[in-house]
Amino acid sequence: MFDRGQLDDLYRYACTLCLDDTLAFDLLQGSLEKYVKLSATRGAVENEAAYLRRMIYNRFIDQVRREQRFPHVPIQESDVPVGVELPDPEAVMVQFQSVYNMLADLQPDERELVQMWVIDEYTAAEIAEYLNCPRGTVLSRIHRLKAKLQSNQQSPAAEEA
Amino acid sequence: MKQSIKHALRPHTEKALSDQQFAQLNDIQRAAVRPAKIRSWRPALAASLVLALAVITGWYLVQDQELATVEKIAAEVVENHLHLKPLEVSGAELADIRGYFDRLAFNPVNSDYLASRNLNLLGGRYCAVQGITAAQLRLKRVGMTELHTLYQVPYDPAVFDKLPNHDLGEQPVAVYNRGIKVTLWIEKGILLALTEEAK
Repeated sequence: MFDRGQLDDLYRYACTLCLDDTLAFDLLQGSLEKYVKLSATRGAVENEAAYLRRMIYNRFIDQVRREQRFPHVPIQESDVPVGVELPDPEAVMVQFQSVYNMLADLQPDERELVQMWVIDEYTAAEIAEYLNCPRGTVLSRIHRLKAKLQSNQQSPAAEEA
Repeated sequence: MKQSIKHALRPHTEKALSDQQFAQLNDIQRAAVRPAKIRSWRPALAASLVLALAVITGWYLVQDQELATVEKIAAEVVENHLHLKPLEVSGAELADIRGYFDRLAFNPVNSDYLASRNLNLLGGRYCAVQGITAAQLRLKRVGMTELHTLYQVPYDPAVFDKLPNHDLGEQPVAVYNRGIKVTLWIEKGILLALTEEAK
């Protein structure tokens, strides 16, 4: 059973992906129903929260592909070394009118990275384990994400225009 | 004004489920866990028959009976839902087709619980739930193809045992049968059961 704290974490994760509270709750509810049915026949998995989180992500990607709202473009990899540690979210300065505007221009996998890096404060190793990719790839992706956020910045004047 | 990305996301990190949303998700988990709990206590209760445990046994027997009734109702409405028998009366508003159901011992109601679900009425037919004449209404969500069936029958606690009452703020109970999710609750003195595909 997932407790209130775990369900709130999963809900926030779904909100980061969907950028819509109602859609996020529907996504969480549908994924939980599916997980409960699966675990009744196959038994509980070792890390239930991570498993359900992946279900939520896959379900979200299926939905956006069906709706063709956001063409799914995978994060481009980079061979350029970007350092050995994650950038400190406290030190990455941005200027956006709203959280929605900041996240809306990102791809779903980039939003997922923002969730894990900034909100959940996972380490690079933890993110790498979850995404099943090398730690260096995680660092590369986050440094590119940081650059994208800082180049997409919106001032209130630009938004009004 | 610039701020750290962490600070910018702070409103987002404070999002949380409402009490109603949490209760809905908890019901989904409880509906799946309850049968396993009952299976696990039977061997223990069978091995120890003392006065104190007789009280606990009596309590569990009531719970078992309630679950059995819910499962029986679910099995019956799922059977009817899967057969998808033709509608006897068509209409988009309950007021338009209520006159057809003059053989019912109750007045079909518009559900407050379903008010926000964007379900359109297509029509209805007579049916029975646990031997009591009931109304079977066919619904469809706006923009979707999936059909839902909403059963309405007068609530009799002697027949249906204790069920969640929406008028008292209780959350409906959901059970699954043959790939169909059945949500049951009481509203305005009527037992309602809604079927939908288990996703």
